[in-house]
Amino acid sequence: MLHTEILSLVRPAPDTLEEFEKLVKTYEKSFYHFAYRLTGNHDDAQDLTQEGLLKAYRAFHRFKTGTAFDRWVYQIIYRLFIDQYRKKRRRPFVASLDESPPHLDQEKTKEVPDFSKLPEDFALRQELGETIQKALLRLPEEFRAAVILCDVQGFSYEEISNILQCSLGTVRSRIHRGRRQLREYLQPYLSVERRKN
Amino acid sequence: MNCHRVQSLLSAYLDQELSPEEWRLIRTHIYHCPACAKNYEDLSSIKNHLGNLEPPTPQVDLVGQFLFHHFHGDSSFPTNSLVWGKRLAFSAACVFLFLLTAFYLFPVEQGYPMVASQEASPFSINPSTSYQLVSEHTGNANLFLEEDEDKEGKMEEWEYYFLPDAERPLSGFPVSR
Ligand SMILES: [Zn+2]
Repeated sequence: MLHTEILSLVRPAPDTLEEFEKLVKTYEKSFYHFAYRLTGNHDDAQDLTQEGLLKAYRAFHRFKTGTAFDRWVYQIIYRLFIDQYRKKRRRPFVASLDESPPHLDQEKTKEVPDFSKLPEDFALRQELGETIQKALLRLPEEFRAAVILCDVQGFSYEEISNILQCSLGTVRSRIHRGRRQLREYLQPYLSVERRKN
Repeated sequence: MNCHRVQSLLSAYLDQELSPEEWRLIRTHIYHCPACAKNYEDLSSIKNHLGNLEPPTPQVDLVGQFLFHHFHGDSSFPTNSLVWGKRLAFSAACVFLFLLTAFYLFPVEQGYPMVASQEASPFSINPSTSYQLVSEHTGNANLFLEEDEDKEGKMEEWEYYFLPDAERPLSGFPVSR
């Protein structure tokens, strides 16, 4: 009896849950992609997405219909990432920018694959993906999030400023500085591409 | 517009986040300046690569798991750091259940009548107490007496005093017919 009552308190109203579920199903892959690019691994991405969704559901009554659901959840995921995952630092999300990236040092000496032949070769594309992800993880979290939202998720600066809760000028600066750092890390690959063109 | 200023606006130019006026100025500059053009190419290439990244496939059913945890009233999802805490709590609950079960199966505070009367020495018996205890089991006591009657025939009352201790009916039994 008591057990049933507790369950019914925990159980959400069916229509609310249904609406939430429908919205989440539309965007879940994008949310996961965002979380994966931020954290760089499946375990953390999974935890981050799940916690973000739970938080979003708990606050769903405050979500205004007509506003962008996806941006709202991106914002929650980003805040969670900054608040929790950065503090946890189970793995070093950000390496010091002063030190030279070790994997790229090695790659300078070995043959750099030609990635301009994309996307025929799946293995090559996968290797490039891993290299880019490693480079992303070397960016400060704020730069990383801005670059991912712009280049991976395709949001405009204004949308990004809503998600990250910062000014347009800050968004512009974070994206630009983030890309410049990526260019530094990915220089060997870019040189090969330039030679090809 | 000098190179420094142009390079600071290259990303916004690439993302088409400039005013038409700024956009035109930069386009003209890039056309005439190989250094800025090279920078632009690099940034553009990075943007393209990021845009072409393969979306990872979630290794679990995200919505399904969300619903599962929600319906089971979990306040949070099991992150790796929480797993050990949960294991510890589970072990503590198991130990508690074990102790609770042990307490109810083998109570220590309140002895059962049989135990109390068997332990009681026949020479230090308080008759009223013993009788009171055993009388709760009069049913059993009668059975015991009837069995004896069937096997060995009825014993005289005095014979009871010569039985070995183990066979002597417990003191306080209503031995009389
Ligand atoms: Zn220039």
